[in-house]
Amino acid sequence: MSKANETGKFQERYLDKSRRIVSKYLQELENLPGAPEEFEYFKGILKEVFIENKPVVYDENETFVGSFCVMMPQELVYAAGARPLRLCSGNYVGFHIGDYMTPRDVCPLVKSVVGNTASGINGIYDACGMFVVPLTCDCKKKLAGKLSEFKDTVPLYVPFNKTDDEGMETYIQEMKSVVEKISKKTGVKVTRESLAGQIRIMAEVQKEIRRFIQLKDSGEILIRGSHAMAIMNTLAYDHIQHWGAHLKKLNDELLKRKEEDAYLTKKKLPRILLTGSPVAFPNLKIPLLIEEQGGIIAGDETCLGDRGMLDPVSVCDNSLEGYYRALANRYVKPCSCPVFPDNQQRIRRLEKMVNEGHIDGIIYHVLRGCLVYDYEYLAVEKYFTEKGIPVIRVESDYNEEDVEQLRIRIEAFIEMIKFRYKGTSENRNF
Amino acid sequence: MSHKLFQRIRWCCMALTVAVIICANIMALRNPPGGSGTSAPVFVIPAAIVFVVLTGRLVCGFLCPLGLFQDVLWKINEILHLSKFNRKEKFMKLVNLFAKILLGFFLCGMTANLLIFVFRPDMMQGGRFPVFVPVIAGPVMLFLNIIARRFFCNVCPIGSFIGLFEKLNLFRLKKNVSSCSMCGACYEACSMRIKSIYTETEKKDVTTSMCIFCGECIKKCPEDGALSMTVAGKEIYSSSRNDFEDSQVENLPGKKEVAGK
Repeated sequence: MSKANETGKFQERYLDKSRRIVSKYLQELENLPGAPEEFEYFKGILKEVFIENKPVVYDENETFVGSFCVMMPQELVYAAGARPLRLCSGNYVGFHIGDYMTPRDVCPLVKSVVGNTASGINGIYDACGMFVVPLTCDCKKKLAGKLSEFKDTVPLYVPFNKTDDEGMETYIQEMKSVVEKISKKTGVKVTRESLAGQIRIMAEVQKEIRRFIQLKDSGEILIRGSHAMAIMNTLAYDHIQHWGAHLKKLNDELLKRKEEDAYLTKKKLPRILLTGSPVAFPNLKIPLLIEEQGGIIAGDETCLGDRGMLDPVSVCDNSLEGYYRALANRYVKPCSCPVFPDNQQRIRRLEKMVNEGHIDGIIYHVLRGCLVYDYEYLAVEKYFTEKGIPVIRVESDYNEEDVEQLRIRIEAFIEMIKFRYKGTSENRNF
Repeated sequence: MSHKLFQRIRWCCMALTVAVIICANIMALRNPPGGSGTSAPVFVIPAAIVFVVLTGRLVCGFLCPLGLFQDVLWKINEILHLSKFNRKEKFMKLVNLFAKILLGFFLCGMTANLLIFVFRPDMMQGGRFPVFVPVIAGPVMLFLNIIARRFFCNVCPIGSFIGLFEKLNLFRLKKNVSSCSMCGACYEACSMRIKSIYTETEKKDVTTSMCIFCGECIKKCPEDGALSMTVAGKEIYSSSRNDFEDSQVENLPGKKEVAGK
């Protein structure tokens, strides 16, 4: 057999397996009752990206820029005439390929990204003209080096200390040089007007995102957390304006449900806050397990979910430099990513979410090898146990072998919450 | 109180003071006061005490005519899109030191004047101010104020003097630490470059002797109730996300586009 033929076969097997897993999770999302009608659109995006294996294209001449983490402002990519794709991956097959190319203890998300890029058959990775890798955690730092073997990769310096002004200045300078590189590819220069336009579009979309989070997290259940997380995930692959328009429709639908009193269930379910390592499609096993076991995700503090998009850009000065500064502030300072050494603000944010979402318990998701999140677990557990909110740490990997074990732990946790309030004076009869 | 209302009140107050000063000067020119004018301290000193104790540097943001002049200069910059000067932390350290030195001179001068006034009133002649100071400092300040909002306030000796009594003021700037996301927008917006308002994580009261109560930080704060201004413990103006979103979209230039195609 010739070598080309062999690779062809390998590619087919890869895609087959990847599609099987994606279909399975899409099916599970479908099986979960109560999805809004507008969810079809977002499911369509996931289908196009993962099953059709190509990015969602609105304009034939688009240049795609793959980025990771929240620290690469999407507005800048749009203003430079390119389409950003957030490539943080949850692909199990990519993980198995990447496993051979990275050390054992690297987190599965990074392994998966390396695998997807190296295999060269993943549509959205191939479509990218370049990658921008913010240098956040150790794995992402080395990822920047690894990816440059395959594609034009630009690392983006991220300050280690948010309160250090000099670091922020460096970050702004780096951001400018990254934008210049993107501009060179697309031939579009970033101007004051174009960036202002993008910031405005993002502000409009953020309004909808905030409305969505408010509808979802406060009070009765209008949408399941797994659906919500899948929706927030699709922003990584869709054009912001289209996505925003559809989110608006979805919000209107949820509002209609609220007005008609058509809540998903009248029963009181244990309200869970999911935090920790990123949950990337199709690795939705934890949210799905939580809701399968009778809990409801009433708070999502993961960076591919609500957290990454909640904070708005606050423009203090209407000049190009002012916009850069505003973007730099927004994408680094309120970010509760644990790569920053002092992260009391994450606990404060969690506490705010616990209070506003009437949370009964916190599930702390740790991807195997995700050291920074694991490190912060202790502080989070200590703080919330003192406040009387139970916290559990669940570690998972990108395979299906740990599902049963996770199910037992999550089931026990949810039962424990139910049991806790049985017969107490508090109005929490589940 | 909405952001717009607060800023309108501020601009009106400043315009009013300027109008009052102009009127008073015209009146004084028309009917020159009889006597030597030594009665001025009788009014000035109690008024100064009231302002220093009760309002503090709110005077700078709301009443100071020089403040209005600086705000107008900044508006010109914003309209013409001139380049802006970014006051970095190290630079501000020098500026603050300079402000302290100026305050020292100011206090020495005032004490000397007061002593002369009390013991040798006959020596109260029109002061001979060295001409080179305004000739050099004037254009420099004008330039700096165009490229940096309210730059003179950073070094203003009268402002620093009022700031010394900051602890007595009725006007306070409060921070609700639990709703703060530490996005740094307040620090970015602050023309006095007060960093502690952004880094503070425990205290509720974030008023500092530098704060001129211009309200920019509250206007740019995206979190509900994270920053607020109080008078004698009563909240009069606080940040709100809805207000923030509206003013944000309004302030961005270019035509309004609706999200979605």
